[in-house]
This record gives sequence, C-alpha cells and structure tokens, in this order.
Amino acid sequence: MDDTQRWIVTVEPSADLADLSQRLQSQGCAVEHALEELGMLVGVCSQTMADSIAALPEVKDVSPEISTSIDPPDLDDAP
Amino acid sequence: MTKKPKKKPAPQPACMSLSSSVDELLADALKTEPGAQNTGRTVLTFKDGANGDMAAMFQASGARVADARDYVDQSVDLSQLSDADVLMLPEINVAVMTPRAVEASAVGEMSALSSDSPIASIDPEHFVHAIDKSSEFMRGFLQATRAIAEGQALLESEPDLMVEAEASGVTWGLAACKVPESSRSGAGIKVAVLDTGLDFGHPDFVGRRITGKSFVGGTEQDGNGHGTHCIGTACGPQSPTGPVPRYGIGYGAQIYVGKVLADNGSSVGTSVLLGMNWAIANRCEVISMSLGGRTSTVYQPYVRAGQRALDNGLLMIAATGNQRSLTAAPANSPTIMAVASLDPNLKRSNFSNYGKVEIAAPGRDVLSSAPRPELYREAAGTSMATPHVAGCAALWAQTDPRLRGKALWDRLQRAARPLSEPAKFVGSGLVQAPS
Repeated sequence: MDDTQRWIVTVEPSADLADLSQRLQSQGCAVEHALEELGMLVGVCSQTMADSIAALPEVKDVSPEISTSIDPPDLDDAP
Repeated sequence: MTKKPKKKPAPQPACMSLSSSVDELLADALKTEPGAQNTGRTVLTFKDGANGDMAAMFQASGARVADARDYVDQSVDLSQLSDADVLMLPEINVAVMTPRAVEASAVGEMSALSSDSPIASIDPEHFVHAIDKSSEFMRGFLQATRAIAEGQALLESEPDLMVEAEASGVTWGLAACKVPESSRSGAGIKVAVLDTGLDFGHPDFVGRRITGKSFVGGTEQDGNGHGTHCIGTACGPQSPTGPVPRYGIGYGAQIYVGKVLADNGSSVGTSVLLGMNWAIANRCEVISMSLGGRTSTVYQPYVRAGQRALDNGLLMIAATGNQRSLTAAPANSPTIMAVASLDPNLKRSNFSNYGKVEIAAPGRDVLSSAPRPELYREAAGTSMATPHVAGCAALWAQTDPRLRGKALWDRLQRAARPLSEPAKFVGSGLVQAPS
C-alpha cells in the first residue's frame, strides 16, 4: 500500500539544511522545499521513512502536513 | 513525532503576598525592572469544573488556599489575606497566586495547551493603567483588583462606540481601538498579510507600495474577498474613495500580500509555511494570519516559525478561530500572538475561540474593502479582529525602532484596554493604537 504523504521536517538550529536535504533525497525522500528562514524541509515519503528521519540527531520534529482554511463563523449567528 | 519537550515558561520574580498593597507591589516590581508592568503574581485560569481539583492540588503542594465563596457575597478584602498563597475565584475560573505558590505547585511546568489539562491559561498579573496618567494608573489598578476580588466584571462604563464612530467618520472597530486619535500611519513598517490575496485593482489601493507572492499557484489576485477585507483593515487608506467611513489602520505601511489560501479559502500547511518563510525573509515587522485549522493541537512547525519571526524582530499575529472551542493552530503556538473577537458592546463574540488568547479586537460587523465591483462589505470573525491588531502593531512599531518582535508583543498587551471578561476569552483586553 502506498502510504506516502507530505511531511514537514524541522531541523535543529545548528543543522546544515542543504546537506540534510541532499541526504534525505538520496534515501528516497522527495524534498520539495527548503525553508531557510524557518529551518525546515518539506518532503514526500512514507511513514516508515519519516520515522527514521525523526530519529536523526539534527532533526527536531517531523510533522505531517495539515490543512488550513479561513473558516468563517456562521454570519447568521446572533451576538 | 516531536522529539524534545517544549521549554517551560520562566518563573515569576519572587516577591510579596496576596495582601501586599499597591505601593508594595509597585516598589517590588520596580526593583526588578524599571517601568515594570507585572505585579509578580500569577493569574491562572482553569477550565470549567476544575475548581475542586485545582484547589486540592494547591493544598497538596503546601500552599495556603483561600476561596472567595467563604466570604459574604464573595466580597474578598485582599488586605486580609496575609496567610494565603492562593485565592480561588470559582465564579470566573481563576486562581490568583503568589510566586511561592507557583513554585510549590509547579503549575509553570503544566501545559495549558493539552486537551486534558485543567488549566486554560497562565498569565502574569498586570498593573492596569491609562498611559501617562498617573492618577488613572492607580484608579485602573484598584478597579481591576477589586473586580478580581469580588469576582465581578470591571466597573467601567462602555461608551457608545457606534455613535462615537459615526461622529468621527470611522468604523466602530477603529474608534474602539483609538485609531483616529493616533498620529501614526505605519510608515516605514512592512505588514505581511497571509491570506487569499488582494484585489490589486481596488481603487483604495491605487498608488500604494505593494509586494505580492502566491504560494498556491496563479497570481496574488484575490478571488475570494477574505484577503482584501483583512488587508483593508490592517493597511487600508486614511480616506477611502467610496462613500464609507475610514476602515484602514496602517495607511502608510508597506503591504506584503502573501497568497497562501486558494480562492475557495482553503489550503495546506505547506503553503502557509512557505508564506511565513517569505514574510520573514522580507523582514516584515508584522505578519498577520487570519487562518487556521480546526485542531487545538499545537503544531510544531508553526511554533518554530513564530520563534524564527521573534528571533528576527518580527511578530506573527493569528486568529484564534471561530468554533467556540480551544484556540486553533497557528494561533495556539506559544510564539504567535493569538487574537480573539469582540462585538460592538466590547463583549467577546460568541463564536470566538478561547484558552490561549493574548489580546482581543473588533470582529463583528466589521466594514472593510471587498473585491470589485462590490468594493466594500461587512464581515465577522476572528479573521476580522486579527488585522485590527496587525494594523495597531504597525502603528506601535513606527513609534520606536526598539518595538520589534517580543517587545512589540509586550507593548501591545500592556497598552490594551482591560475588559470585564476573563483572560482566557479576551487576553489582556482590547488592542489600542498609540497616541
């Protein structure tokens, strides 16, 4: 079963983002974005690979991508 | 999949008891920090039904606990509480704590954000005052302490904001935030609004310095209206071209339009992160986000993004959400300022989320810009409250180059007008513009 999804990899401040990106690419993670200001990589891979990425010492957190919206209130809602 | 625990809040400075006088509190606070705004005590807001558990926990830690219900009409005289470390105010789900009680009970180590935590928020107790008016400083403080002690609403009388706004030719939201009285325009300040984009052809924005970038494909043109409305409040003109009152706050600010939401109003977190990264790279002093998810789970990438903004002297401001539930991501990140919504009577809007709330702003019946041909419309939501704070933040940032990042965050909270509702709903109160 294909369980690949998009992950947000937050690295430790001292980590080399470009170097980590290359290593993840070589291990099969499709890195889509390197967010230099935030210290994050966005990539697509399996849950198993995400688990192994999370175990790297220079990685602080690996989180799945989440959805976002403006989600307005019901405008008929009385004060 | 977070690997390391979050850092806990720093302990409050040691000082006084619950019975300390205002003079003693001020003297103690000023010894620690000139111009100090915090009394050194802590206001803990707990969730409904948690009063008994919280009281038991405090007692188990060795703290001496007083309960307002033990007093006639719950009228507590703080000066008579020399033996107490904690005052429980069950009517408003609040406990006022001395530094000793905070340390003994270790509440600072407890997360206010986890769903099973009995704690909704932990905040320093502030001195309450009108800026540069020493007599009002004392009156405001005494009013606030009396209200806490009595478990009642603040005794202030609310002006008729609608009448006041009509007389001054501004929206009620701008009147409430004291924007017309401000001499500031946000000039020299970059304000990023991460939303659905902007109608770049709107006549009220012709001639403005605007930078745009889309992170959802296509152009930054707003096909929804939400982004144009938010940008209008934060950065709209001093004199609109249409027959409407002034609705914009930072009319001199440089606008950064980050389109991170598609025209249907939805997106994925990566687009938002890309927009955050872009806004930080452009060193936008104020980054406004009227967006969120439906989960109250703290999302670590947003926590990092907010921290990187603060590290760079920038401030991220986000809407708490409109689900009548706990504050959603990204506003629930401890590094991002969370904004709740107020109605024209300055009561919290019934849709506004709660829990982690830093400040509140007008969010119902908010008039602002809309894409052509409509040009103007009214809308409601914490989405509309957030750009009121962003606009005021730009005005404050213009007053002093040192007011950046966390210093700007703190200034906004200190200047906020106290309200009669608990901090878990309105934070420090109603955002105010500088004079």
